[in-house]
Amino acid sequence: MSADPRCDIRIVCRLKPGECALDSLLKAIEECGWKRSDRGFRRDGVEIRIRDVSLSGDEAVFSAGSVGGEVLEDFVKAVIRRCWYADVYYHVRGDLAKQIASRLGLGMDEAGGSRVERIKLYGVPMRLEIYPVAGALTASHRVGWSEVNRGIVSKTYRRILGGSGAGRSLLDRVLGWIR
Amino acid sequence: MSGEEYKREHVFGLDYGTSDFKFGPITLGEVPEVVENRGYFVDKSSLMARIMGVSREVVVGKDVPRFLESREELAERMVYPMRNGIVEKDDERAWRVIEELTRYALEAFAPGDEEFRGFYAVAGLSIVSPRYMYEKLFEIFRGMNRERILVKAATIIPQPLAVAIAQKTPTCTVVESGHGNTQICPISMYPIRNAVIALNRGGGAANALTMEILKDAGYGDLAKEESLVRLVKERLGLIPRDLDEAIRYAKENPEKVRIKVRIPGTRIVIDLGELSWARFLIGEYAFNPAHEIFQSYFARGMPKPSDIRLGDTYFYGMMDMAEAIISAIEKCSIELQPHLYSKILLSGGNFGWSAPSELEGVAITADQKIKIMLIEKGIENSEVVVVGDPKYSVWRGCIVYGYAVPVDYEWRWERMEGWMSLA
Repeated sequence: MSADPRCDIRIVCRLKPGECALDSLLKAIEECGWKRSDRGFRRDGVEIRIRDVSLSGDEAVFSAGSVGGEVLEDFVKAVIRRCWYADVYYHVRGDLAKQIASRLGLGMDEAGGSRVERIKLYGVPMRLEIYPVAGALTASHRVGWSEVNRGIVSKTYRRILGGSGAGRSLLDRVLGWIR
Repeated sequence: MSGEEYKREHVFGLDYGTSDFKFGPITLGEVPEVVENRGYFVDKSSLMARIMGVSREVVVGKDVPRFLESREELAERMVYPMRNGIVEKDDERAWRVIEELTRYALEAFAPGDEEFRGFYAVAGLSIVSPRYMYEKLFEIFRGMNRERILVKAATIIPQPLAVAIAQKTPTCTVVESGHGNTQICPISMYPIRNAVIALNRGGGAANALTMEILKDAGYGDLAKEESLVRLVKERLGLIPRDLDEAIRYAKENPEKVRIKVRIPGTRIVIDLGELSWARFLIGEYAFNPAHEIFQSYFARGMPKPSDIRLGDTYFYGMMDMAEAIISAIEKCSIELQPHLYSKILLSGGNFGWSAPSELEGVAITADQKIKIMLIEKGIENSEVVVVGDPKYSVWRGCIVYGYAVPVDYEWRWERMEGWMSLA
């Protein structure tokens, strides 16, 4: 997937209770084949940046831009080895936000106010924040070991951003084929 | 959901620029919403207002154009609350606009969700803002909560510090240049307040020059529209490596410098024609208005950026940008000075100039310009960087700061940091 400025995926990694050193987390990512770069980690031409670290050192935020679903899953698999859980956020803007809202069966009427919707995808609770004023949408869900092993990251990625026939409506698939 | 977890999803940045107000929650990603920092006081006694059922006293944000009346009314009823980043203490109308803008921003994103207990609001104010502005802003947040809880806790940080935080650079010099003014602030963990230099000019000064150039090119009728002038400046303005050489180049190669600007949604096309060399004046003026070439414009009545005093702060009008940077850094300890030169961060909408590849070597970017100006003044080893998306870097810094500061870190007036609990 080429870089799409309309989308920024963030992974918030929470360390296990009592742990407050990120070194072990960073090492675990390296052990999975990611190389340290100036701003974060790099592999196969993809860079995932370390965006923020909490003052207490028990949480780190990674910014993955608009990476593909497989790369995202691979990265989450790496971090989850040392994390209590990870929250995956999809920040999307503009027409992409509208497409996603419609794909998930939600409206994004500009006259409406901001709202939060909760749905379940593959049994995982998903929080959707919809900001019609800004034409923005944030979808987020939490994963632990169990969800990562069930391939939830790539499955939800496909449901949110598309990219595979799985989970797409018939109309989506037909339109995709025509395009 | 723990307190920290809740905060992570409800940090809200508010960057009060003199011209533009940038705002939005952490969940917006990298780009905030932007509206003009102004408010329009509706004439509620007018017949039309009554027929239309207008109940608001002040209109802010994207709705403003829908309420505008005649030009004469505009001057009286449109209030731009900040001057050089400062709101006068007793200017009730200005504070009313700030209050309404703040409410507009928070309400636009406050979800109608039972779990919502208010935002963790982080406001960015000018480094020269006096303490009363901090007090008034906290008061505004508190007052809004009486109607509906919008702010759980709030904090306020100086805009240059927000830029340094967004860039994760603890020792640096931040040059934050918006529409109305420019703040040059050396930072070593905290802003070095007694070294701050402020300039009484920003992007608005280049707009004034663009207006004159448009008049000279025969577009005097259009030059009255501020938003159009701004758009033309952004599309036409170029920073010259060396102004005299750039003008010579432009006059020898007029077709390389000439472009036509189409105003979206209208039939208007602006073409400076033979005057296209003046594109370089616009960029130069932002950095060095003291160049002798601008004297003719001042002589014809273009307002000259003047030295003014607001509160305890002196705002210089004509000091060139490099001189201002050097003056600020030289107020710091000698040991620190090389570190401050080694990381100069340019932030704010006034640094978003592009340098077209076909004019390489003649037109340059803001960071290149400052570096060259510093070298001319004997500063060789500087590193100057325009931060990514300079217009939004303060807002981003507000978000990063809000995320990092723990919820239990309470506001302390002696340090001016921490969370002021409001709900």
